[in-house]
Amino acid sequence: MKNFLTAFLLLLLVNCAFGQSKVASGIVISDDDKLPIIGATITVVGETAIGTVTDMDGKFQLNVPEKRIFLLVSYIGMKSTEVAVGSAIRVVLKSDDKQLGEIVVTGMQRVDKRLFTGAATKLDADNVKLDGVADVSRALEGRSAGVSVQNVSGTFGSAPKIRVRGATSIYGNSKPLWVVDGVVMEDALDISSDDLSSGNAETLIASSIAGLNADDIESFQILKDGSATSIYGARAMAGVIVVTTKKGKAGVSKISYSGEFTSRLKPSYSDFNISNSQEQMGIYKEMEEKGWLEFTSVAQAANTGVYGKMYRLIDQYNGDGTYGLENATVAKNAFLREAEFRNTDWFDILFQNSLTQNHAVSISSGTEKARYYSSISVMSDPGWTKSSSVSRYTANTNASYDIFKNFTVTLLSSGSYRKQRAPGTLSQEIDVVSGEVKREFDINPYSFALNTSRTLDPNEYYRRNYADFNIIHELNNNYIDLNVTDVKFQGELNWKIIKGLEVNVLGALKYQTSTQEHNVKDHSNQAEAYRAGVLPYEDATIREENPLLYTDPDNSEALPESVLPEGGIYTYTNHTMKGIDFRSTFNFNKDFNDLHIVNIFGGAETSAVDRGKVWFRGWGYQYDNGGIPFYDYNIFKQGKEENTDYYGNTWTYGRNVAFFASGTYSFNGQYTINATGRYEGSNKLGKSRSARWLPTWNISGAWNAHEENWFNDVFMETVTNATFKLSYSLTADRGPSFVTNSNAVFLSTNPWRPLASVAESGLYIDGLENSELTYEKKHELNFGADFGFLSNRINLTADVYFRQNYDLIGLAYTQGVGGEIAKYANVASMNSNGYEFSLTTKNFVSKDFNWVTDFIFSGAENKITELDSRSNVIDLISGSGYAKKGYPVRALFSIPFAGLTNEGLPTFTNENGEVTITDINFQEYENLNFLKYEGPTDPTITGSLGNTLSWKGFKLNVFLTYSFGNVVRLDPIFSERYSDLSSMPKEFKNRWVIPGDELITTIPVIASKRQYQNHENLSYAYNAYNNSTERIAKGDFVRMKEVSLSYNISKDWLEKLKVNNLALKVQATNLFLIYADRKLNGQDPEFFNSGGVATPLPKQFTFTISMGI
Amino acid sequence: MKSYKRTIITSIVLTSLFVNVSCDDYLDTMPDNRTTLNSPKKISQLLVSAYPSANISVLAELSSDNFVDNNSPEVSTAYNLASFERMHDEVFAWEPVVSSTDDDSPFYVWEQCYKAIATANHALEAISELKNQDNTLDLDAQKGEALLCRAYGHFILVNIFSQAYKDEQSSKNDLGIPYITTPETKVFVDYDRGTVADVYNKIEADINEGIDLIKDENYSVPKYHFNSLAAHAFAARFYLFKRNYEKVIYHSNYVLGSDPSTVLRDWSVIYENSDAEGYAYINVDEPANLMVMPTNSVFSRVFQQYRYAFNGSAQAAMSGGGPGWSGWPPCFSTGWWWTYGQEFGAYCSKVSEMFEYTDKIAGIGYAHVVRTEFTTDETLLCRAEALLFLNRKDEAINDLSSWCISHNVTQAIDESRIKRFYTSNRSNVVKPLNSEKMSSSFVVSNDQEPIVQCILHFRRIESIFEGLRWFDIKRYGIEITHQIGSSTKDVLTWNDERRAIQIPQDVIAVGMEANVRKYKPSNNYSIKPLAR
Repeated sequence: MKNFLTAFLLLLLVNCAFGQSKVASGIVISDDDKLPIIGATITVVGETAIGTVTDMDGKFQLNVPEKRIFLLVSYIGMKSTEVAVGSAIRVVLKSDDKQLGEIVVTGMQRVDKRLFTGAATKLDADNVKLDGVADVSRALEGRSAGVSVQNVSGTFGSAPKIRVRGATSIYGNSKPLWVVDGVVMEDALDISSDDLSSGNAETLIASSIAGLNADDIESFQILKDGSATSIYGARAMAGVIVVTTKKGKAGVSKISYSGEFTSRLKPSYSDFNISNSQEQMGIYKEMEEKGWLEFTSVAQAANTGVYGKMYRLIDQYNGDGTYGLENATVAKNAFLREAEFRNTDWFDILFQNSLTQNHAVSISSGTEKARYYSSISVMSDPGWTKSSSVSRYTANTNASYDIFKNFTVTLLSSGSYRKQRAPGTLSQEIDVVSGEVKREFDINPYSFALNTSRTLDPNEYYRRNYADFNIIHELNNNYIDLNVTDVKFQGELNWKIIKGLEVNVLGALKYQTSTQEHNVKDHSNQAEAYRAGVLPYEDATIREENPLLYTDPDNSEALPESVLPEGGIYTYTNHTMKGIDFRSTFNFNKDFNDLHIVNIFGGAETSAVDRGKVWFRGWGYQYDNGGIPFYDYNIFKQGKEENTDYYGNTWTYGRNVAFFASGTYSFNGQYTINATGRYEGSNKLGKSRSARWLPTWNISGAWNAHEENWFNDVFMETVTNATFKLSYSLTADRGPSFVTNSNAVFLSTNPWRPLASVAESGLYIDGLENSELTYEKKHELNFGADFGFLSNRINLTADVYFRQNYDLIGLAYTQGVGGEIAKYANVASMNSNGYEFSLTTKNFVSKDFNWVTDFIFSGAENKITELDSRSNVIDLISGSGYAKKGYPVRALFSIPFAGLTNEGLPTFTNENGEVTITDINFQEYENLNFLKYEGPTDPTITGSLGNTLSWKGFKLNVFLTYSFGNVVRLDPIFSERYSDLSSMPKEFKNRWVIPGDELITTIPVIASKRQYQNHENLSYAYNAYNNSTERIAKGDFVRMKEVSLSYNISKDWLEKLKVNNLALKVQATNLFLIYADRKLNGQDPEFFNSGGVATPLPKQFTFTISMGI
Repeated sequence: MKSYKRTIITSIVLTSLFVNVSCDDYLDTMPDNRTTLNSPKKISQLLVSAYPSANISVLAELSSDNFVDNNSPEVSTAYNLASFERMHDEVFAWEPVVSSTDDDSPFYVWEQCYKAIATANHALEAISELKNQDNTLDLDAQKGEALLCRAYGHFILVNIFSQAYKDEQSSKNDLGIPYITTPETKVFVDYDRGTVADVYNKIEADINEGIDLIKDENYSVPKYHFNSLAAHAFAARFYLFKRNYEKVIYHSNYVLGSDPSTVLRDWSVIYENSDAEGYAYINVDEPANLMVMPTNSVFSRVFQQYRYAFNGSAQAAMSGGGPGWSGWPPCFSTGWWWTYGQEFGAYCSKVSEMFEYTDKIAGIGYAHVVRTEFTTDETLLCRAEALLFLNRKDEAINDLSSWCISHNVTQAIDESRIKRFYTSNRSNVVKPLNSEKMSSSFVVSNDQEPIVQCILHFRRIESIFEGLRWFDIKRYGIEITHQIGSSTKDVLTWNDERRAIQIPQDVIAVGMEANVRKYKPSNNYSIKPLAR
């Protein structure tokens, strides 16, 4: 009241002093959110020297010369408006879609873009949404400079590998932090980014945002540099992606519907290089001649195809003097000829062109006092492959109510439920003896189609693990059912205590539970394998050979018996995640004399995340017999002897506390400086108090050159705005989740004992104390610039950054006297740097026709500068690459290939510089210089090119993404011996066949049995070949990511239909690769064909209808 | 009204802002299901893992004369067999192992022994902390076990990676191994290796402090721990190596009781198959087994037609008869020895591989070999040796005779039989002793020598594939020859520096003092490249 009085008196005074001017006053409000706009510019039309800006309440007051009657109200990101001079004018500015958003949402704070000093990209969900792709994170591919999205698997629920400005850690995740409506989304389970490409069933619940309905999202804000992310300091090293969901708006009532109908193409053999059955049979004939497919060895082998089938038919006595197949050349040739012409199309059999539907309905409304938004969506996917259906239901509400004018309560809740089926698979495991990564049982349809011989009859049973196997039967009898429930409850209070001071309190609870039921039914191959060989009519040698049978060590006369005499195997796994967040913040804004703007923001937060995994394996569950378990007690006896658990229950508990503050000062909107600090504590590193606390900080500044008086005079209309930014920061992360030994870690264990009778439970040291353990840290220097040319017809944003990552967790080799020779500790560091450009040009602008081009280009490179890497050969040559000092975080090497011998065997140059066939030491770790460095496995250049053409209601969008700079290891298809199940790529056509071929080909011979016996360790040679300089390709690609055509039906039509808007859209996604290395031969450079539940992103067509009433 | 509203809201906001008062308590929540050593029971449980999971057999047996090269002329047929892994080439040639850090490698032995020691040290630290809190707690049994585990871990390390104990004075010149008594708390710590004499003195102190504290009733599975018999058997072996013969007799008497025959292994039982035999050998109900120790090892795979084998002269030392028998020792009845082809050598059920599945369905896990670390049969031979050097020859021969009887030798043995057998020209069995060169106080008289040879032969039979032969070779300065490939004959002289197996390369690389090596590696094991 007092202020008002003073102002009034002043006003009177002014009036007295200048008789010839009048006073204009009023408020400027945004049309979007009906909130006052701070810092909008008011100038007098015709008198450019006279002007002011609105204050913290959006109000302004200005002396206007008597003769002038119009004011120009402008604000960045808004359409400028002329209004007549008056008192208490209410100016509503509409947002200018063609400009960048004016507000930067950091998830905690909304910052005026002019005062924002960091590197960030705002993406409107409408513009980036990929129709028919239910997981919103995939839509970010190519949309923001510096953000790479690698679709390592396309299966729903699995997360793509997202990197903001590349890797930030060596063993850590480098995963960006997801923040949805101000709350950090925790992953349901802690899965490393390398494990994302493992194809394990766990990857299906790896995405923390798979439960988000794309239609509910308003925008994404990607925070990239330290200035943007520093408010999250100790968790933000790898960038932050802020998602804002839709809210109700005052004065707008609306019901919207959108329906998406998607059809996917089956993969086709024409895209791959797989031999047809005729070529395949030719290869088998050669194998037969070379002694591989002999009756004695094949008839009793664990895994066989056509030949095994033939031999067993010959052996099968029908009881009437005839046999399954006559043991005569004619009959055998006829049998094989049938296979030769079979040409089974596994893709056609195992894939389907089913229709995926996604329906979303939302209603929203609002008054001056209350606003709400509520939505429901249903997604139904009958499955691209057999045994891979998904349905997902989501609901989301967001309601806010102004109890008082300055006090608002907001309630958000969201929930989703997902039911999914996936083919039965086991997890990838590392064999601790051989170091080989393997998956013992896999029926992934995609890898099956690529790896299984086309000579097999899809309706016939062949043999796997000594038991009958047919892929369709197996997919029907061996599958994983997944049920995922995800809920979030969130409440917020917002109180504007006094002018400029605002307090916000937020609390949220997140809960996710996912159950995974692996059903191995009674008659599945995987269950039958446990009883193969025990029946009296079966081949007695199988009983001796079958490793799944059990011989009782306590009975000296025991024969191998089945521990699964009846039924199947039911494995239940439940993951839960419960997160509680609590945060309170205050925000203070003040400007002095319209010249000095001050913003102070601060607060505290606590969060708790409990994750649990419970599993058990039920042996002998009789699926076909009413679901009664029938188990053999020997299964438990055997488990005790082999130290195998049948259930487990493990938990992790995360606790965090953080205090943060940020201060911004801006002079006249021209010069801005900002300082941010955060002090965070976490229990993640263990109980030691010295390790848990970490301060992080940022200092930054911005210069809005276009606010300078001289700017317009110098550049006239050519440069309309120019902003320069500089920031230097320290951010951090806790490092890989398995490094928590700030105190010694003691865990319980059941040490292995030979017999159940001598078993006992104990404790062991899981990690020695590392009193110096600390967070992984990053210093980042960022230069940024934003330019607008020709009335913002051309907009350019550019950033350059230099990063030093230090205190990274790496392996440290010690004297080992403490009990561990190799320890994980903060011993590594790396440098990275990069640049980012985003260019938007409005090539053509008219009333009816518009053409806009977006070009995004970013480069990022990193190099490990400190790491005692004792990597051995096998680590360095394996697919995902390995960390080595002086190279990128994931560097891939090859064994140098040195040509074929006159026998067709491959040779290599080994560590001693000798040319050899088999003398390759994969464990060598001293002398590694003989390996050829191929390149990083992460791309160094990523970006996109988008063109949008609109004419009246039509809009055509052509979007290309590209990625360059990495290398890809080709699939390991060569082996020292093959079976009659193997399917060979067409490369085999050019294989070495007769002496002299070594001069014209580099494809090795199919080794004969004699060669196999003559060369000890011939497998080394073929394994080396798979990892040699011959088997590498560039990962570069240009992908036609999206082509879409949409049509907004004109208003005239709509009025008759009583709808507000109606749009139709046809979209093609992942159509084809415009460019890729020819050596890939159809192998997708992004996708890791790791089997399990992984499938690549399909080519798909989506029809979308959206409607608002 | 307005101020009332304001008060409420202010209090809500202020409470929420300052709710984080007891942050450190909040952050004291353990990040997972780990535990703290806050009870006597937990300390007992921790000590379950104070036993090294490494097996020294591959290093010790391949270094000794119990293995030969199948590719050498020593084995009549010429083969071109590959070694099981490259490390075996290095070990057999007494060269530093650079090619493996896996099971059975020096890396693994070093790390696992020190891991066991660290576990014992953590237990000891927790014991003193608990004692500080509550002086009435009885933690003696745990303390006793921890001290013995610590002593045992160092005993293995010093015997593998250092020269044999010579005497108090001479061993001060030999590089020891770091003797660790507190847990490590930093990433990089530099340690001093000390001397063999130091290490032996510290082991002795730990044994003596711990041995009487042990209580068998504290264990749920006593034979997998240092029970009191096992502790005394360890003490007997330790003092034998230190040549404190009175103590050997004291401790072995404790183990053997008044009538050793009741506690020696019953070798007369014949088993159906090798699996049953393997399980019987490690049975805890067998009174001869004093302490059983499971290890992670792929040792049993070595015998499957690979280059280095128990064959040729090594096998002849076993099958060439003894003072009371001819041919194979009668204890090893039919069915004891097995082979993957006679020409490639033999193995026995002692080294049966037993598999632990981390995931049964996936079929992966760890390979194990179970060691019978201390047995009454071996303790009996310790006593015999001690008695002999205390000039109680008759009692020594009496013990050897007991050993023979329990090992199914029907012919009674006496001094004359022993002397007859071990003075004749049996180069596989009788190898010259150089103990006097090692220490002037270690004199074997001409009268004693045949009996020492007999004891060493019995020990070699008793401990086949367990590694003790290598320690005996070191103790007595016995020179052995390895024929490597077709041309190389390498002799390990009595004072050869290679008797101390080189410490792991990884450890040397970060500053641990390496064992001295004058020779350059001969590299004669490398497989030659094939002609194209």
